[in-house]
Amino acid sequence: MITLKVNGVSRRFDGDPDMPLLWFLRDLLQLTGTKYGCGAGLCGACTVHVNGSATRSCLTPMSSTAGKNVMTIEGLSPAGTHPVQQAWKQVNAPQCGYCQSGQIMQAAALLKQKPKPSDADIDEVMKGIICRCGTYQRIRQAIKLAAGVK
Amino acid sequence: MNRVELVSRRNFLGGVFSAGAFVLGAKVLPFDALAAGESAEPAAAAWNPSVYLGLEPDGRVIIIAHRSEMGTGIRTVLPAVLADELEADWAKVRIEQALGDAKYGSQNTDGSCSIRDFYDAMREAGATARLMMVRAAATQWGVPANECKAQNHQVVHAGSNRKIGYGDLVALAAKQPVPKKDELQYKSPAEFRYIGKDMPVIDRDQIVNGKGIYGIDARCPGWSMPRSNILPWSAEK
Repeated sequence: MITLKVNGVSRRFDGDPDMPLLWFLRDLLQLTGTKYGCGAGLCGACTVHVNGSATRSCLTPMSSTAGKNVMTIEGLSPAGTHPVQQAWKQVNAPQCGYCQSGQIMQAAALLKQKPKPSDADIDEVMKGIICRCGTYQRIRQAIKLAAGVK
Repeated sequence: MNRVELVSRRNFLGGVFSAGAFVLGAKVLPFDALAAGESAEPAAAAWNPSVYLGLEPDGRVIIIAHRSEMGTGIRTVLPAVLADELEADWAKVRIEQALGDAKYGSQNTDGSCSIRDFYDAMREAGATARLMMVRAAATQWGVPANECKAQNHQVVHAGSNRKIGYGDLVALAAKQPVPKKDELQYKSPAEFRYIGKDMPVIDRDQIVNGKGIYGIDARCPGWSMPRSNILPWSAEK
């Protein structure tokens, strides 16, 4: 039996300990804001926070989540008012939007660690999340807006 | 080549529109159908409208998006073209995603064709509904229709300074004959509210909150969810 917290709520799991966290979130908890992209840690669409760090949930076995705090896009702010989400809206960052939960979670983790990131800091962290629509310029713009840097 | 019909009494789209709604369907023939020759017997061909537009008595406008969203914004933009020509207030427009259904014709969304194929149809549907709203208001007021003008979800009669909202005209508009194509008057580009303007995609806020719905998020009662067995891998290694 694995016990963990997801968006502040205590959850238990007694299935296959090798099952990825992503399936637990999407299929069992029906938190579908976190997306499945590649299942191989290559695209970043499934990014969530585990104990505050941006983590690819597709490659995170349930066994490693025992006692951890997981946060998904649904838990970032109850009303979508996190500074990163507000900046995302302000610059109309999403196109199809499929990767954006991962982008937002990665960006929120970055700003927690580095409240005033440089362009190089942003690129270094955000390069792990692929956007097929090509919204990278607006993503960078939104991160800087949320951080209050130019 | 397009054709607009009143479909209020037809139960094509159970659940989307209310019983009191005024619903128009417009048929669109994309280029490939035209190139193939528009059927020797058009009357015998099944009537498959690609565009559905409904006005609700509470003033909402519901537009069916029959294309797939793949990041180009097409699900927002085509309804915006219709809403513009209708003189609809975008805040009162609701876009309903069409399911895959033969009644919409081909829903294949690729090749940068959606605007080219459906721009005219969207404008025609919007202009048709707008003219029916204007005529309904003119009937109600007993004034000539050409003295009335549609303006941001209302019909206005300048001569008597009267205004009436689209929602209040729905019942009367549904009794108007559908105008012929040559009766329609289109807006000039200078009058456009939405066409050519920067608009956020309709589900921007849901996307940003993780509430956007994609194909992979669909669920049906009683479904089992098979999943690939991803190779175990540990972040600690």
